[in-house]
Amino acid sequence: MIVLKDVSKRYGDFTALHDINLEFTNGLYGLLAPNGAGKTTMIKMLATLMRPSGGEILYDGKDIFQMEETYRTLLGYLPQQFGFYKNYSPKQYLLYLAALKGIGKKEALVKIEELLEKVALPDVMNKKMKKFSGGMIQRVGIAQALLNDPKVLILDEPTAGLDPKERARFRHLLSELGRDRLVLVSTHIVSDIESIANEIVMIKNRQILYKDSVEKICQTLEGHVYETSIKYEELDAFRNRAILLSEKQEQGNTIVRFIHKGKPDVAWLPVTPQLEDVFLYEYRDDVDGEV
Amino acid sequence: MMRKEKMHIPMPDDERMEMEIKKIVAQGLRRQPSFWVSLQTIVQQIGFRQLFSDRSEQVYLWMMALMVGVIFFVKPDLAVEQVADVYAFLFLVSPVLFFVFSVYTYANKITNGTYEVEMTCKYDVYQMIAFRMLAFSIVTIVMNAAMIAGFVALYENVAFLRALVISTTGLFVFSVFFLFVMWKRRSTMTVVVVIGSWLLGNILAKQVNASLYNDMLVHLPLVVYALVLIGAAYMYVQLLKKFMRQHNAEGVF
Repeated sequence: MIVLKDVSKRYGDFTALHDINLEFTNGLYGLLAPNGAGKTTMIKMLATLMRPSGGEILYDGKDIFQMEETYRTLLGYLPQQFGFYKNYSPKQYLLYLAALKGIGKKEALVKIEELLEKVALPDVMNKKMKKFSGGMIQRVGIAQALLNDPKVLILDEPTAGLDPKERARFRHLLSELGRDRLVLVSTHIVSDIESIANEIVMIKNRQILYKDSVEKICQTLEGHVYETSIKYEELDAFRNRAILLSEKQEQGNTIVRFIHKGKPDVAWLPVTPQLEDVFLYEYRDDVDGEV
Repeated sequence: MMRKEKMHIPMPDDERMEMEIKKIVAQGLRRQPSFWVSLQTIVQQIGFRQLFSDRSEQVYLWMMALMVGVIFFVKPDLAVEQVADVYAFLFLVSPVLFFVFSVYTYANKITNGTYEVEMTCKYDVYQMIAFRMLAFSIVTIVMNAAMIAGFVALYENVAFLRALVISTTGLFVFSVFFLFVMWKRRSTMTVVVVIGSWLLGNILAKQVNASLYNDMLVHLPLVVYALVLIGAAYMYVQLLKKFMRQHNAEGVF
């Protein structure tokens, strides 16, 4: 179990995270927040790449920084920008990293074949990585994070560069992995984790906003999410009445999905809130540019 | 009348308490393996094959080694007309091999962005660099010895032992200087400044007072050199130990 106790991170005058208290047991956790909210900072602290300015991070009651290589032996980590040696093949690079992880060559060779199969790269295991697409590199990154069969798997934006088919395969792999270890996936793409995460952690204003199941988080908007059909010309006026979540064109009209916390109009159809709705609602100021 | 029973607590004696405390502390605290045990484990588990993380590193190192070799052997008479110059040259250039062996790793990890992944492995970047530095300093000493043997064959007045001690002292003094500065402040600029100040410092010292500089190299008793060498080698190992334990430094160097 990993516990974050009053963890803060400051860069000079800027506070990235403030008084974070969290507990992670085995299972799949999604760390969801817009870019710049402090996800990578938290991930880097959990990967021992960065020390907290205040508080402590404990693994089974022991400080992860004091555990040193004992903790790193349990850790699998995929950074946001996965670097590689261009002239190496996936097999060579994974062999090198396996050595750094203290895995013997014989054992590593078996594991590497198995993992490259898992991430659908067995045919290119001896090809130089400089010719790989972004998605292929990312899959090598996922494979290296699993080399030591980690008890704690931390993935920072792992689906960046993956196509829809690869994303689906990756989700399947993640839910399989989350059964017997702690998996923490940071992302700003709701659909990556919505269907597979046991719990979602959301950060807002440098603090934890939610740490709960998707269902419970969605309940916070229960009875406030609606859909209705309006004319395109009415859209601007409608924006002043409600918080628009999405809009799509259909037979000359615009179907809008929105949040309204007052008395509803009879023409509005109440709908079940989704995680995406909560995300768009909570981060409406941050994500306007991204939606 | 009720008689109060005097409660007896079997308190252990001081010696027993001390023993128990030691036992609890020993069980609770993880003992840090010594520097040499750590190195031995790295050699056993990683081996020398993985000293280079990239084939381009190997090519680069061989090219640099070849270049230094060429400087030494092909045109030795350009700079070395006197014995003092040979010693000065050895003192100045000996660390260069070590330097090129060590520094390329930093640049390679930064340009390829592999630092973060390697930092979260059981044997992190610093442990590997410490391991490489030690291995390369041994390689450098062996290579220096071979070059000096070449010099001795070319110049009758050059004493093998003195030349070897001077070059090894140069190597360790530079390494201590290099590690100390890297320990305090890691950046590409730091590396450039360290190398620049080593070369410039030596050249300037020779320019300002050539006779003193030459006298130190040619006439300073070997025992003094040996003492400086032992001191520098000791400091080098101490700094390597620190370097090896240095995880969790903020950001990338």
